[in-house]
Amino acid sequence: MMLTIQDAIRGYIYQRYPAVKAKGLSNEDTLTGVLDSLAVLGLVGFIEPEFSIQLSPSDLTDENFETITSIARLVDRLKE
Amino acid sequence: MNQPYLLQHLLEQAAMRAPAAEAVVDLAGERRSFNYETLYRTARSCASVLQQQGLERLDRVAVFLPKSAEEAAAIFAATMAGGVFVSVNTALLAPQVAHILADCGVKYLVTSRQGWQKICGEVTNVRSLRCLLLLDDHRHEIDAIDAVANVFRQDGELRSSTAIGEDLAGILYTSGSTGKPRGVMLSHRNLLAGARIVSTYLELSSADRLLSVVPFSFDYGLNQLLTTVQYNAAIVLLHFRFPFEIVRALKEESITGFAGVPLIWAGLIHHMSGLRETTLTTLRYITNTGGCVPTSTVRTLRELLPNVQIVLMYGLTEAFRSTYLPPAEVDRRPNSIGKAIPETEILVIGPDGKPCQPGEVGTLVHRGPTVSLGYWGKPELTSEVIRPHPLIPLDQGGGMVCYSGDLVKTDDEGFIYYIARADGQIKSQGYRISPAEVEEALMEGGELSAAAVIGLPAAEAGENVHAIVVPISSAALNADQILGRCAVRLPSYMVPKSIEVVNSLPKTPNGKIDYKSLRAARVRQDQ
Repeated sequence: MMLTIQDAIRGYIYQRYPAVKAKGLSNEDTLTGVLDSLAVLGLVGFIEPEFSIQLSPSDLTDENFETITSIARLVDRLKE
Repeated sequence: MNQPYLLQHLLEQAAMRAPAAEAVVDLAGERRSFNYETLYRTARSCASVLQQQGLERLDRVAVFLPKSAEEAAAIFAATMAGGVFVSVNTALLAPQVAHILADCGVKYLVTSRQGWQKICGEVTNVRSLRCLLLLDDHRHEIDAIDAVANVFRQDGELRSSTAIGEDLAGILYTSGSTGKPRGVMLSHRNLLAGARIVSTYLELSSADRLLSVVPFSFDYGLNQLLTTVQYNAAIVLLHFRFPFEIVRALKEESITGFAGVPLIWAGLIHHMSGLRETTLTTLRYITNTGGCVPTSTVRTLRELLPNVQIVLMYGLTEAFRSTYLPPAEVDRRPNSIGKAIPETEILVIGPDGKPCQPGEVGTLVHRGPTVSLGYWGKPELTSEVIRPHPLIPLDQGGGMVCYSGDLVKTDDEGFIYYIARADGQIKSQGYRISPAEVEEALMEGGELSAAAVIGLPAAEAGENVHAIVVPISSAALNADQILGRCAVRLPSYMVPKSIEVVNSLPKTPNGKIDYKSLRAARVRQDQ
């Protein structure tokens, strides 16, 4: 089975933040308060090469980084 | 106007001098602007409610509000009414807030409905707590305790305070190397001296607009508020999640001065911050608090902002600020914390109690008007930190000084360099963390026989919290589960970033955990 974008993002977060893994994080759980600003920048450093996309500063909004699903949507949009 | 000697004098005088000048811009939600007249009225309203509720001189008033104009007003209101403010970080969870309130016997709590919901489970048990002062209008949902709603929109009488400058004005909680957070007691004179000293070397004026992202529960965050009010300048309050938002605020709000913990500096130089694509014409200086900034970060920021002064500072809550590096020196010695701030003397004292020669490592000792009154309710801990002058006896006018617990050395020209903590205290993301507090949370589940928590060097965060644990039984230990429990119990900056399971911990000859060797072994491994 192919790994979805959501799974890849979750995998990255779980690997880096064991405390988040322990509590569990669904595609729709809010990331506010879970990932601080530096963690989000780390995540950006992961998804850019992983999905061969490039983000601009204005892509970093609460809306785009609210949940795993909203990040996946952003990735999909930038891949087109 | 008379020379101000109480905290509230700063606001009262600013409101008289320039009532229409912009004081606070609150960027949480819809942009709100408060001029000095409005800020003063907002504070006065809260102060009058405190007096109506029976506040007596030096009663403690905790402020548990997100960074906002009302939070700023509440800090002034506590002392206007004759009380003492206790500024509580909203990053803390209910158990830590309850500890603070109980520790210094808080009688009044200024918060919002949302804030109260977050902490009420534990805070209703704090026996000293007498009354809630709510920002909003949801009194009817709270029955456990007396509550007054809309405290910032009242028009009651206010008796002037009988306090003097030596009185306690505020308490800021911070961690040591052992035990729970302790409250550093600051007098009115401490706070006013801090405002006066910092505004001298940052050359602040009424034309300045400071961007505030550091919490008011941090000494430097609070100082930004006080220096602003002292000069009728403006302070812009920002909650941010992405560095881009800081850069946008710097530009859109015509910010002239900015302070951040090292982690925020790291965010600013990140290629996603937008700093490279933005022209900042008003920004005059950037300064740090809560830890040293890595030299590589300083150099990159110098390249990105060649016309902005970089002011590197060092301080600890117990003595507020100790040193700063004049911006002209930053290219020559970007790893130095500089020299003593104005009105202050810094000594470097060796283990033998004598002054160190250049190059010798010793403890930084601070003497000056910002030396605090010590820790609330903890005379033994206070006497370890606030001590008689090491070289001039008390009966010859030596007075009391602050032993920082930080190891430093100087160069031949007297510039100071930070080396390390003398004890096990961890500094991460600008926060001081007591290993003991994290260890207690690790042990709570009963599956461990011992736990040791250390800080491992991390470029951006300063240190990362690392846990080393010994399980009771040899059965497989679920380390993730232990961290998950910590994440519920502790604020995020205290939760270990990594956990390591071992069979036993090394001990010192007198049977205590040997933190030094634990740390040394892991720092070596890393390199």
